[in-house]
This record gives sequence, C-alpha cells and structure tokens, in this order.
Amino acid sequence: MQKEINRMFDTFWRGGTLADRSFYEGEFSPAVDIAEEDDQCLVKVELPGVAKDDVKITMEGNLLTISGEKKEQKETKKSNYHSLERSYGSFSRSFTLPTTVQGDKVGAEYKDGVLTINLPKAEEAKRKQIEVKVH
Amino acid sequence: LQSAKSEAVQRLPFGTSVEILLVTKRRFNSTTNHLEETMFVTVKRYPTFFNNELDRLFDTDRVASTTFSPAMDIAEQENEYVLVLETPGVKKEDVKLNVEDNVLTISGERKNHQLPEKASWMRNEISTGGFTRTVKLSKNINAEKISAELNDGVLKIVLPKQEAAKPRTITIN
Repeated sequence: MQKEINRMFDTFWRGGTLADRSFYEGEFSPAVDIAEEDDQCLVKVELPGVAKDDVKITMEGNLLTISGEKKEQKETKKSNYHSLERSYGSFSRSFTLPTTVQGDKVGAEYKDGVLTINLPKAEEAKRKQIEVKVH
Repeated sequence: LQSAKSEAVQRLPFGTSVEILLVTKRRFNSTTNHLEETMFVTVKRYPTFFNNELDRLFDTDRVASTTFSPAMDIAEQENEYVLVLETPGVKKEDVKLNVEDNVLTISGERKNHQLPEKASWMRNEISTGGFTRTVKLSKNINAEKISAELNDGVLKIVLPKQEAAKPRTITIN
C-alpha cells in the first residue's frame, strides 16, 4: 500500500517537472489579459504565429469564447530539430464577462501576434452616478 | 543553483542539456499516517538531439532571467540553422541580437501593459518584462550572414552554414 502511494507520487512529480519534454510539447493554450474599464472590457490574447482566419470569437450572452487552431508551419521541410519548445494544436478559452456587451459593436484587431478585442458595455451596464440627497 | 549547474555541466558529456530544479517530494508514512515533505535540488539531464559528433553545435540555456522567456525552436537544415522564437507583443525595435565570442544573445523587452485609469484586471496572465535567451554557435556558422525577421509575434533567425560545412557529394572520375 505504501509502495503503491509512493510510486504514485513519484510518477506525479516526474511527470510534472519542467524538464519533461512532453511539458514543452503540451497542447497550446494562449495567455489572456482582461481589463475592465468604465465603458468597455479590453481582452488581449497571445497568439504568436496564428493566422487570423484560424481564430473564432463568439459572444453568447455574457460568455466570451475565443477558439481556434495554432497550426505548425510546414515551411521547414527537411529539418532536424535540436530544440522544440513551441506548442501547437486547437485551443478554446471562455470567460464570463461581468456585464452585458453591445454585441454589434465588438471590435477585434490582430497585431504583433496579439489579438485585442474591444467589448463596449451595454448602456444600462455602464456605471451610473447616483445622487443621494441627505435630508 | 548556479554553482550546482556549472558543476553538473562539467561532469556531463558534451551534448547533454541540464536543468536544475527545486523539487518537493511527498511520501506517505504509514506509521505516522502523515505526508512527509522533503525539498531537494535535482539535476535533470536530457540529451539534445544531435545526430553525430559534428552536429553537437548548440547548447541552449533555459535559465530565464525573468518570468517571460519566449519558447524557442532550433531546426537544422541542409544549408542553415533556423531559430524560431515566440515573442507576441514585442516590437521590432525592442529586440536586440548580438553575437560575441560565438554566442548569440537574443534579448528584448515586452513593455508593461498600461491599465487605463479606473480600470481593473479581471485576468492578467500575460507576463511582461525583459528576456534573454542565449545560444552557443558552432564555428561552422557564418556569423556575418545571420538574418532575422519578426512577423506576427514570431521571430525567425536564419544562421547560414559556412561553405565548408555544407554537405557535398564528390563524384569519382
């Protein structure tokens, strides 16, 4: 029993270390920044070397989904690899936004390998200033 | 950790990469019914994928100076080596390539994302800051003819081989 548990932990720690090659070759999952501003939400997604046409952005209610595929470039025909750290594959990330968004005014731009999405907040969701009178 | 690394490097055969890791190991002690934790420094070695003696050219350094360390591929082709680094959000003018004593240093900076006034992070996964990656070059690389381009957050560096290093077929008369 003890042996079994020790073996389990050993495997787990071996599998989880950075030196493991499969760690570098793991499925691609882009890093995301989301900033909430007064009148909009600004989303940044790291997608180096991903073609614009391979990215899909969908809004469903408050749920924003960014999905797509990072394809391996075929240009390197007859290559011998000495180091392989980049990862590829399909990805999908979903986020629940804190407010409703004007779906028809969502804008996206891809530059320097970073996808930026502007999500303007719906009128009623914008922060309102409420004046409270003290009697 | 650095001294442990240099010691390990000295003892290893050429063509082996080393990574020094701080590892926490947990063991279940059935007598005390407790999980015992021990931390220790370990040396991970893995062969770099060299085909033969002549191909032992690169020894990459994986120790990053900051949290942002771009992923790098090194491919060898008939007439050149191709280095590909992922540097999303890095501007061309913020990358520096330098060759000195047969070592290629790729360094740069990813600027901090400025959070506008009255804004707050809902999620902040993209790391920023300076980065450095170094690659030891073999003598058969023509350092004068190294070229680089940056497109869609992907930095591609082409290192042509010297004439003498290219494979040749000699016909017998």
